[in-house]
Amino acid sequence: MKSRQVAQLLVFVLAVLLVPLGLNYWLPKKRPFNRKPLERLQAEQPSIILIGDSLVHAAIDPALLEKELGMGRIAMIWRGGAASAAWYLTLKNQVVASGVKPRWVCIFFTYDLLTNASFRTTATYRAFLESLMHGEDPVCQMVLGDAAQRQTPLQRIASRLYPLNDRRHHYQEKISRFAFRTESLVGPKIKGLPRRVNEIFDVARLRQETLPQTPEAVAARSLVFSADPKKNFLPHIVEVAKAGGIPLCFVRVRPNPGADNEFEEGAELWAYVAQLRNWIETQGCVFIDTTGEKRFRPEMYLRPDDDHIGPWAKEEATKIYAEVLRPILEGRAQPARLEP
Amino acid sequence: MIFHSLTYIVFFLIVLATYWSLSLRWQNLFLLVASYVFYGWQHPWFLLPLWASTVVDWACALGMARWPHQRRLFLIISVCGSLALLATFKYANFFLDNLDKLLVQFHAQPWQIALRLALPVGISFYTFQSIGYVVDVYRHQVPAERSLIKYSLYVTFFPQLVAGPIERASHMLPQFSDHRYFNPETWRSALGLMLWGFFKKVVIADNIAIIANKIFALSSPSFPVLWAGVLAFTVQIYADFSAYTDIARGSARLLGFELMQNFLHPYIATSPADFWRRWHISLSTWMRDYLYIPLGGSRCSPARNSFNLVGTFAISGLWHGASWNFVIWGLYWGLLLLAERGWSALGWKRQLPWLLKVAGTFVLACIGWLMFREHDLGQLLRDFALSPAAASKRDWAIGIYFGFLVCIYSLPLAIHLFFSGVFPRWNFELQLPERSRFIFETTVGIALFMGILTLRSLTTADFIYFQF
Repeated sequence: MKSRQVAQLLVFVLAVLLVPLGLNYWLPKKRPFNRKPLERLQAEQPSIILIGDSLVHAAIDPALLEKELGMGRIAMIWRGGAASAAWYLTLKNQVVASGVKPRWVCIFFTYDLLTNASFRTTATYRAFLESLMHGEDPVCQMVLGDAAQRQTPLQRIASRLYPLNDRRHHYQEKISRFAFRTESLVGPKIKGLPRRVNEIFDVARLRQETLPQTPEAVAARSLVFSADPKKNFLPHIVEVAKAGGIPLCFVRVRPNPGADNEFEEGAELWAYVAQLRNWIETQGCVFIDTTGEKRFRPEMYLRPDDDHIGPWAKEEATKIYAEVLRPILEGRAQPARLEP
Repeated sequence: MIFHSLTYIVFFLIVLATYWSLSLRWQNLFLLVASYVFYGWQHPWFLLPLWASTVVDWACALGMARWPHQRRLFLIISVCGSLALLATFKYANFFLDNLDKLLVQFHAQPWQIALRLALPVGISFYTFQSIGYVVDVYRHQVPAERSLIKYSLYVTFFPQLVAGPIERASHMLPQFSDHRYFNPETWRSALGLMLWGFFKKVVIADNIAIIANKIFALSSPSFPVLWAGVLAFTVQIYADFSAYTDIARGSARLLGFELMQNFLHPYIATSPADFWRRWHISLSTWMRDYLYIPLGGSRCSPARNSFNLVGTFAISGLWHGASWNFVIWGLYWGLLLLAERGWSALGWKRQLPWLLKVAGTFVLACIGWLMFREHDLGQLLRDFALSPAAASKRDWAIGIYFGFLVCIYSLPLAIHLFFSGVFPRWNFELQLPERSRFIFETTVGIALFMGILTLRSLTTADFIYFQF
């Protein structure tokens, strides 16, 4: 009797461990590529494309900027919490792949996000990155591969045998879509419900204490500029733009300056930004630094310790950006250099 | 070390293999060392208060046995020591903060002192377990344990150290003296229990946690969205905590020990009292035996009894965390139980259909979870002031969407509840012949593991009850 029970135990353990091992390879591997932004670009054929995170979405109204600049259509591709990995993939797989030839692509960033390769590339951000990729992206593998190298051999074996991350986004998205469909069958009919759901989690509606970790906090560490293509996405962003014949403009966003309207940054950040700027300019790209732009006043920001522009000041902020960007994008002026 | 990590799985496999190759004498010592490794894995200094609590309580219990006429003194030393530990690590800053607020009210200078002490995980659990032991020895319900190793293991046994169940000495200490035998049937049931626990944690609780956290991050949610968030938290906390218990019970079972059941389908409770017979059973019975009954229980005047009941629940609330919302949550349940007594005395309870009683208790539990989740009392008042009439069609659509999402992720829980809680007679698994049952259980095991692989949450979090 006991030997039979032992056999059953062994069969149970082996079946539970091995059957999923086989089924693993029949299931779709990653979140499918999101074609919508690409198709939108093809339909709109914009002259200027703005790429960034929630800061650019909070500060700029694309329609108003379009009117103010008068340089043709403007498209904005943003995602809350996006950083250099997402911007690289957006540029490569959405902008360049769309075949549109914009006059400018402007990438808005703060602190050291252009060279902080691993910032927001895991968990839900990983799902978003996958939606910007076709299969595995070799550059992402190379730059972010460091994270995999940090795994213990055992973790690597487990990840290889049971590639947990490969499946999850796909099924979770299906579940979410099913919930949307069920809601539309039994609940009130609302057009564009997924977008409405996202809207209610706009940063302006969140409690202060629950705001995600800010780039400022993440940047509070040793800052060393590096243009090593194995370590960050910036050289790849520039390379992809060059290959696609797209002029690039990097816009450094002014974070909340504090009550005295004097944005102060440490010597380390200054040195980092100076190196960053030199490198970008030697690559033939434009670097615009708005951190010294005092027209972005503290009362325009969402909260005293938040870098997002409040909805009440979006129009004003858009007009300021229009004034700053116009002469440079029209080629009438060189970007101003800030001195420490 | 957290259960749902590769580190724990490797740690546990090593412990399991070594443990079963040792003789009884060495098994206990080995388990104790393993438990200390488990607990001190990330913060070794957490071991210091644990050791202090263990040694003091063990010595006090021995003191009671050695000098019976001084029993009360040893009891006081031990209980005060345990409470002092809790007060220092868990409640000192809460007390100082409230004192400052009081001083400001009286226009006095606040002290503005805050202790920079990290809260050792599971401190509330092991201090309560120790207090329970000392009181049992004092009451002559269990003999004082002479072996420091066995007593330390009772306090430190790693499967249940950080989030319970809060075990009783009478249940655990004899198990540490008994021989343990390898039983393949027990192992299979333990592995099944652990798989179900992992599934509940990483698939149900962690996925639903994303919804709950998002909604509770909103500064002004609408009525339907807020209550969808409350529903999410209601499922999350049950899936999370019961998952921990299942993994703990499964781990202990593989080592040859049986831990007590901590949950008995609480969301099909038919009344507040019934809910507490099914939810966190080890805490509610602890509170009953070591607080409510010593206070006089129900053998006193109705007024005193009401005070005992509400007071016990208020302290039970405070046990969960140093914050007023937990106290309010405890008071809420205490008052509900009082109301239930009145309701029962009028005979109204018997007249209600079962489904209505379950639904009513579930709604009351949800209201309670809102108090539990919302730490900001101002926000809590605003939440209760929300009106369904003020919500737009869009708000309702979003609330219903989140409600559906919660329901989809809760489906495995609902199926489990249906067959083992609501209609246990329909549990066909029990009626199957042995071979078919084995096939069924193996299929369920494969499905659970596949579920873990494909539906595991994108973000993972610690077990909620770790913070208590």
